[in-house]
Amino acid sequence: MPRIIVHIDMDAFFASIEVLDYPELRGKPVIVGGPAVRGVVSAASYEARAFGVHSAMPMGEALRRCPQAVVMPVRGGRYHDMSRHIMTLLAPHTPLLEQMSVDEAYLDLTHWLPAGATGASVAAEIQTTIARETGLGCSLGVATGKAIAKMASDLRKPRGLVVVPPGEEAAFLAPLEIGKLRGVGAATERKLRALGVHTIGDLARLPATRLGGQFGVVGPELLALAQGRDDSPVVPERQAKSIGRETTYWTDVTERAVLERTLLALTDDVAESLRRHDFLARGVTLKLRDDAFRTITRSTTLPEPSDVTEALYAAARALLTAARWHRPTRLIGVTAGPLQPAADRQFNLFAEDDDKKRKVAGAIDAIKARFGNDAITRARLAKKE
Amino acid sequence: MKFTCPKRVFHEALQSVSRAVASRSTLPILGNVLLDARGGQLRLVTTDLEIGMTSNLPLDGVIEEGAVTVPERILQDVVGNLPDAELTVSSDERNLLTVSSAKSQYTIHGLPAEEFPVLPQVADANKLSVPGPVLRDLVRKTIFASSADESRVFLTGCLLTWDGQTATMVATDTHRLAVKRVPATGKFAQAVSVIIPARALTELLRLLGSTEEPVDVCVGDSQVLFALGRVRLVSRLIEGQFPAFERVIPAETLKRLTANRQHLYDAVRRASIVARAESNKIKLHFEDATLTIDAEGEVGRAHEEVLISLDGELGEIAFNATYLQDVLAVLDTETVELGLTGPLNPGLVKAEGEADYQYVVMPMQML
Repeated sequence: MPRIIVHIDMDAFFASIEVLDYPELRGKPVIVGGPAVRGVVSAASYEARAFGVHSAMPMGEALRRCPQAVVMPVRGGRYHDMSRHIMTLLAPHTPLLEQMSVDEAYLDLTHWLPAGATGASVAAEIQTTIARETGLGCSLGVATGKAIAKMASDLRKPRGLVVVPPGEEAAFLAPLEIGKLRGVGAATERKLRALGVHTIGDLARLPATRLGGQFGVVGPELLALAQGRDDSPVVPERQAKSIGRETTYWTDVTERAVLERTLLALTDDVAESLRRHDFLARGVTLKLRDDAFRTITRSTTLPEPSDVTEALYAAARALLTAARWHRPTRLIGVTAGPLQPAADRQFNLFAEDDDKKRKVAGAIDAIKARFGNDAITRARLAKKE
Repeated sequence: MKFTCPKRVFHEALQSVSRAVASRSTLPILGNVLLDARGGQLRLVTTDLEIGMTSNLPLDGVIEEGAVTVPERILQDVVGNLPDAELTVSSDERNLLTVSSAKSQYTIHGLPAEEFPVLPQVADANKLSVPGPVLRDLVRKTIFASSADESRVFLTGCLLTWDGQTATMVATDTHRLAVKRVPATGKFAQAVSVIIPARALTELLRLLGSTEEPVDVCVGDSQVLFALGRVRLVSRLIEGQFPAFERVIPAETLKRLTANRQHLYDAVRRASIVARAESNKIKLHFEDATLTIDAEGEVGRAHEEVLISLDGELGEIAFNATYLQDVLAVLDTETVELGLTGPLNPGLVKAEGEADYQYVVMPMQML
């Protein structure tokens, strides 16, 4: 039985929220990001994109291309709150809901279609519901696998809905530019084009031996995906064996302080997720990828199962130190796991500190839930203005 | 080197030092036993550089003084399988060891005695003398609470303190803590407070067996030495700060449950069979004369009832079954007391009439 996977991606999420909150911006090129001189673009409205502005672009460059753009500061908490609201709208459709980021999620509808419904009809219903309940647009892809559904959702933005019927995956992918394939960034794209691979179809026809070792462990994955084979499961965090967050840098990072700061922010997010789902992590895994796609993972067991940032971060940071990692870093990630139910918490004779941290973390979670994600943050993660 | 010795005596001496032989080491000689025959005795030495063992065997039959080292496991295997008779053991300048009895002769390749590590000397400025059964009690009632977590190495041993009058041994893995105190006198120079690796204490328990003899314990700056009869066990000490354990022992508990130790042990052990493997959580509910124990896991459910006498109000609490099972297994009294205050407060286990023993155990989340 072919799977029915839906990928939902909010359209210009941050910029659209700004337009929603400040209706006078409607129809204007809006850039979210900053600060003006040295900052980067976090998001751009479709009006701004028409001028060639895109996310990750230096702000100076963006304003040269589109001097009339309205620049709005990033309001992470507001976006986070909206994201939560959207997830509650998705949740009734299937228990197999995996949130990928603040504006992206997968739904596995294979065994959860209402009578008479199809993947396409549910996707259309989701699009309508979100527009009605939030005023925001989104694009959806329906396919038999996650990566293909994601590429489908990306195809007709904004407010697109693209269905790839079972069996037509390879045909759907074949004409697409190679850069659209999941896992193919700028560097990989250059290398593939050098091999004469310009479309996904070109890659699908490429003998595996031609790929050689230059794409590392991701090589065979790329090939399988290009041929339409995509069976990675939708894993809701509630029954996950691990909870992780990772981020790819716009430009490769070598500075240890930057890596640590990212790691802390990611770990903070992981810890919050652990607490929200009532899990304790028994271990931590650190993932690093360099500019040549070499990926390493390092794992450790925590002295005590934990759901507080401090304990998880200390372990993750120790892994970073022990890894003796000095290469330009493209991606950094942290995963907590294996997990155990928080109800099985074993109290510690000497850990009053930990209990205090847990109480503080609980209080912070409550403040965030009530006043939004930006109401409170770690001093080390606070933006320096 | 050349000596004669009854097979059984030689074999026993080899066995008594075999546990300090390094099983896997980059230094091959650490898999060897040093045999050193001189002055009317045979000295057998083994070490893995963490612990070391020596056995001094008085021997009438030293024919030629000398020393050699040979692979311990091979020698023990050969000697153990020889018939019970007088053995002649000799070595030559090429470090070949020859073991012969009436109809058997074995030659084993060895290494020079000079290459064998010298065991550290432990000063005897601080020397306790403790009867074997008392020392055994001190170790076996605490060692199980030590940690196996190598990232906190100071918890992988037992703290030994001595003020000249009382020896105290403490172990904790931060979830539970065991404290045993025994009277101990001897040559006292200054207050002793050292962490002895659990591994060394495990070997000590094995050596102690059921001996009634007194054992001398010399505590040096970085080593400890146990001398029992012919055998000496020396171990390095663990560096680091042991947690301040006194303040986590509850001075008083609001509720006291008294139960038959064996009945309680059996119930806890059975319930833990179905408890979820990672947490091993069991829930205790006590009211009037009944303690109920409930456990639940992927495999099913357990319900147990144990007769108790309760001093205090009814209540409930959750524990890791292993932490209760471990202590109930080492106590030897007929009844035990479990002191509790609340579901988040530590529990205090005591053996009836054994005031010098305390076991503190932290609960688990009740929900």
